[in-house]
Amino acid sequence: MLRPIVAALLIASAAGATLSGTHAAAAAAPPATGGSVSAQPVSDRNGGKPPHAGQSDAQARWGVIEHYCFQCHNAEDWAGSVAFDTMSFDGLADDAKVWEAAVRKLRAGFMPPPGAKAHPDQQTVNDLIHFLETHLDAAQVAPQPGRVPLHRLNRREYANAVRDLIGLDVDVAALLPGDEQKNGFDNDAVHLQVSPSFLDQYLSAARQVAQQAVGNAHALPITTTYGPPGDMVIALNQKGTEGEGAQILYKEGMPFGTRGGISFEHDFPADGQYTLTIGDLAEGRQVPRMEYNNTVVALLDNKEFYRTQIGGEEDMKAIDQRQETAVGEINQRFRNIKFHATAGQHRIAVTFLKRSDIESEERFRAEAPEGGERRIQTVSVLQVRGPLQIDGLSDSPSRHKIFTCHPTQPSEEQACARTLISSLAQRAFRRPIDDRRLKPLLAMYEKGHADGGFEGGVKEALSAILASPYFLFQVEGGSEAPGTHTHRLTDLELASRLSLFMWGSIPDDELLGLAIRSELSKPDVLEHQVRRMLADPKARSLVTDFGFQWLNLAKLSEIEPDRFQFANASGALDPRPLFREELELFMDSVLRSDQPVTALLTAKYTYLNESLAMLYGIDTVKGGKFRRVELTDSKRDGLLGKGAVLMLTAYPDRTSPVLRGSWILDRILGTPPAQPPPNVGILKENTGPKPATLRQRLEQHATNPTCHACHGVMDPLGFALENFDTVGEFRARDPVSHGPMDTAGTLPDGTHLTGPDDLRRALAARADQFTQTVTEHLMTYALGRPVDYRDMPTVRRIVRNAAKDNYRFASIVTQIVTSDAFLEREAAPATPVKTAAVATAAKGE
Amino acid sequence: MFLTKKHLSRRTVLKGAGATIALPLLDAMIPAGTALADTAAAAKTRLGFVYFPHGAVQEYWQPKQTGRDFEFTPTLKSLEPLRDHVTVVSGLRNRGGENGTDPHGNMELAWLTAVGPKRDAAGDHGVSADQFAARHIGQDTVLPSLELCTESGGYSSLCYRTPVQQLEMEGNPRKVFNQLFGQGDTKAERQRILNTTGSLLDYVQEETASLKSEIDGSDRSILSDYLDSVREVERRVQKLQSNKAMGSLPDAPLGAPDDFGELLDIQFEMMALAWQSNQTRITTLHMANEVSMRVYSWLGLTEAFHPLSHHGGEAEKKARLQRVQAYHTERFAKFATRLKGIKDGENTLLDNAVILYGSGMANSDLHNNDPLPAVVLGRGAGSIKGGQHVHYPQNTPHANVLLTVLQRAGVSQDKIGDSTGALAEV
Repeated sequence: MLRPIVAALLIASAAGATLSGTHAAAAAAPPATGGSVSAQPVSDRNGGKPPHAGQSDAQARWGVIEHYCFQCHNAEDWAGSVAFDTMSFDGLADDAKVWEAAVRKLRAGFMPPPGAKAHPDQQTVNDLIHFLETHLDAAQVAPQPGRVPLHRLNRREYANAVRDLIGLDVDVAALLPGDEQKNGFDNDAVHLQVSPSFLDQYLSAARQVAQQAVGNAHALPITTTYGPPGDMVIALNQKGTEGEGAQILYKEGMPFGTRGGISFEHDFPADGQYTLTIGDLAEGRQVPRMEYNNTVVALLDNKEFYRTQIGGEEDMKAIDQRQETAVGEINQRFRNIKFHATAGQHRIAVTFLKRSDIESEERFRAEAPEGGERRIQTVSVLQVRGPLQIDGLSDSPSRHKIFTCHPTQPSEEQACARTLISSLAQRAFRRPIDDRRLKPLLAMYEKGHADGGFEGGVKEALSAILASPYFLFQVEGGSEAPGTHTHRLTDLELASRLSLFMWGSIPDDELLGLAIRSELSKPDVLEHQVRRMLADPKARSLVTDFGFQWLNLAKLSEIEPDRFQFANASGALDPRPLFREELELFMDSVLRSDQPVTALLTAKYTYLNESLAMLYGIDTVKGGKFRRVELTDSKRDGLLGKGAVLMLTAYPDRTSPVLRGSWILDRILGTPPAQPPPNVGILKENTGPKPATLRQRLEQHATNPTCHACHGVMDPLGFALENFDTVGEFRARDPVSHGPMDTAGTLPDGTHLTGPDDLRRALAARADQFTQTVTEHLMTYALGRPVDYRDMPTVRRIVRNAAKDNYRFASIVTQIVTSDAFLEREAAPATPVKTAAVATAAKGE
Repeated sequence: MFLTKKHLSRRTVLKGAGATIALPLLDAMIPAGTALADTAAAAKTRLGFVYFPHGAVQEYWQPKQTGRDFEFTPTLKSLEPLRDHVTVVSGLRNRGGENGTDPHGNMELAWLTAVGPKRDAAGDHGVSADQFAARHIGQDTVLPSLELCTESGGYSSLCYRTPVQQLEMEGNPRKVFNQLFGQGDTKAERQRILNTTGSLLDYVQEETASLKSEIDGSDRSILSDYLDSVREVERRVQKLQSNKAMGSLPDAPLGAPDDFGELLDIQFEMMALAWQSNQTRITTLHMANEVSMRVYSWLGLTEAFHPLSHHGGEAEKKARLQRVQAYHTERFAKFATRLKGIKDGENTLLDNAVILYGSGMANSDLHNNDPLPAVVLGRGAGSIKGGQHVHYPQNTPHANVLLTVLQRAGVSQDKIGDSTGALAEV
């Protein structure tokens, strides 16, 4: 009866050997059997007795396996496709995949499952884990670096590269297809595929980015709308539109003394005259919001260029007497406002002067979730039109980066073009540019020149650079000698890999220079570069790209807080942007400092502004700016106290101990639970009277061994965090029973938890396991491939060394960068796998 | 010229040169009596696959009677006005979705392939139905096929060009429009860009060939995919340049609206526009993501879709879940009604369409695949009877309905996944 259950669990166990939950299929193949049965180190083969004194270490450990695991994992039952009785420690190296999976299951406390004949005590389990790990590490003679296929820049890397190459912030989400997040990260080389529609979009992007960077002295006047276009003409904003409540308070980035407003980054193609039209603010039927006088201000890069009034006695009177005619006149004040702008990206904003709160009760009315009755003016949409008259192209940041020389007469153009195109290409292609690479680019320049002169030529060459496979692909493997199995990356390849890892972007001049001079791979130079890069602001990418994906922060955007339950934390008061900001600042402060990575779990400070502090029940923080706050109680310590983490592991309308527990197992402890097996069935016990609390409902898991095997481990972790609701607010009482919240639970190793503090302590006590989780994820991200059982000895070595260095993040990063897995690459398989697409392509050539 | 950090909500409209007016999309996009309307000379079938996640509550989905006089169930009710074009196909099972440890992912990837997650890169076992069709009837249009979704970067794609190469699905209608008709917001801009694309493609092609010589065997195959794509884009550019419909096109939509219902409608409109202008004959639309945490609050619901789909057999929860499912059908029915209003040669687009509407899951609480909810909509230019509910015995493969729609759309395919033959009754 037990067998199918355990089998289902173990199918997933191999998934634990990689970081992914999707590779379980591999385990279904019969396992390699290392040694023969006769090589068993234990003579007592039929007793299955617990180990006893007088045995060798190996004998004792084998005895444990025999006693506790053979019941299901034997040659007759093959539970989870594993039969330990066909294996032996002699074959440990060959069966590393199975043993690594076993270690992971043991660490998590998933094995043996509840219902098994006997359970070993924790010391026995720990000893077995230690024994297996030590021998697995020793058995690895030469670590295999693994093979990362030709890696295409993903969308995020493309955006960063464009920023560093030509100083332009592009909204890639509008330009390019998204990359799927596989194996936890968006840079897994195998999944960065290419299709016609993909290529189409990258070509379009290249052209648009080049156009935007160079500017356009012949740009046509185009109207661009920011905000819901339907609100441009007289129309009531729909309820709940952004800006209903949020425009009552000061907005970050606006000048002081203002409230609300909207702002957008607009790309001005040339120097010249533009017009701004603000969506209609006056509205005949909406008298309340015309009641008070409001001052509207328009700004370009925070410099005011227009100011007018709306509302108050005069306007009210006019509307009263002349109705729609007056409304039209008032709205005319907001139309076709002329202003001058230079080429490049500038911020255009429309906002309101702040008036004293004493004048009205607006502020209080706005507390309602839908924003309250509309009594104040808000702005939701604007249009920019132009250029209406072009004066020229002034030096925008991107033009400054591109045009390093300025030909004053036609005869100088060719030489200048050559210089600046080869400089752009060198940085974009991350390698010195020879004539072979330069010639086709100059040909593109000539084509563009025929049409649009010198600048038109440069623009065309820049489009080509951005569309080139040398830019889009991370080329590795050229210097491979035939017959060898691995080869070391060249310095140039290393520079790219390093900057993509640490900055999510292309190398800067210093890094590329070192690579061109073949100095980068010298150990001291490399380590120095890692330190330098980590200190660079671009390394924030390790937080927002690596860190956020590791913690699965993307999930947060799906959890739209329920408006009825969380009136104080939804709609305009949605705390998620604040949570993100807090998490980013907090993680950055730990990862890029000398603190141990375990400070992520325990640190007694965070970053707050007034709104977030209020949600956390802290009343000493004033103002919209985030700053470091030392915590006086433990509620918000470490990651487990952060709203972002608590919310991404909840449902929009209630908490889920299962999701939270599963998240901790996966992201903190590195032992992801298996997915529930298909057709698991409904809990039979569910037919009785409805249980009072969530806990009582979930406790039904314990009555079904299939469920209990994972939920027994997962649920107590989540219950310990039940003091936090969906939006991360602290609660002492159960929302269903209204009694005190029951946060007690027991971990598989017997540790008793009474609440969040105990959980934090229990996790922090597993510093090595947490550091190993960080390392595995970081390595997956650094390499662009899944980390699997073959990498585990390297991972454990990195953790051991990091432990000696106070578990510093910098130490982990440095060790990953200097590991063989990072510095080397496995040769192509002898017979390349042919896909159908390849076969077609080959025919076509 | 393009927009940076642009925020759009509620209404996606067509952008004119001067003013911006909110219009119902299709009225403006497909002016009646233009060149668009008569691009298809002979009756050509259009093949569509429309997917919804989390299955369907059986008692609200499957009609009680079989044959022609069946009664529409609550979830299918909105299709009733199109009765003659509706074929409810029930009782099918998809074995391909039953293996592995990730139920949502497996069922999704098996819906159009009828093959499990273990795939061999070689051969065609695991290519999705739409892509088989793209090979056969997709080569004479600008796009062999079009893949749409509402939530990009979601769980997974439904479409497999090869058993291991997925095609990304696009959730931004603006990008879909560009995919269909080329880049550029206005007619003039589109034309200018189209004309300069050729030399850029040549450059990319030459550089790719040069790069190929620098790398080893298996990486070369990745670049071959890339080169393949370059050629495909080239073919499209040529097709676009010679398409007379280009002259009567509307301006491009601005982007994806924040409102889910509107986005869904606009993606459906894109599908209709693509079919009407004959830019492609094959379209797949993924209506909502598996494991969606979206709260369908406009239906008066407060729980997110996925937790709600684990209804635990509670009648009350199932009734609430059904509201989401009926809502999806309503959006689909609205689209089908549009097709009925669009002339396509002698018939309407709906007459010429074959659309499989269904899910990869049966009972969302159990994560099982039997019996799958499925409706075939349209008459396939006369190849489909329509107006009936056909019920198949236990264990009839879902692959059979895939095979059926392929054949009725004019694709000469005799096997897909674990199919045992086409469904003659349909």
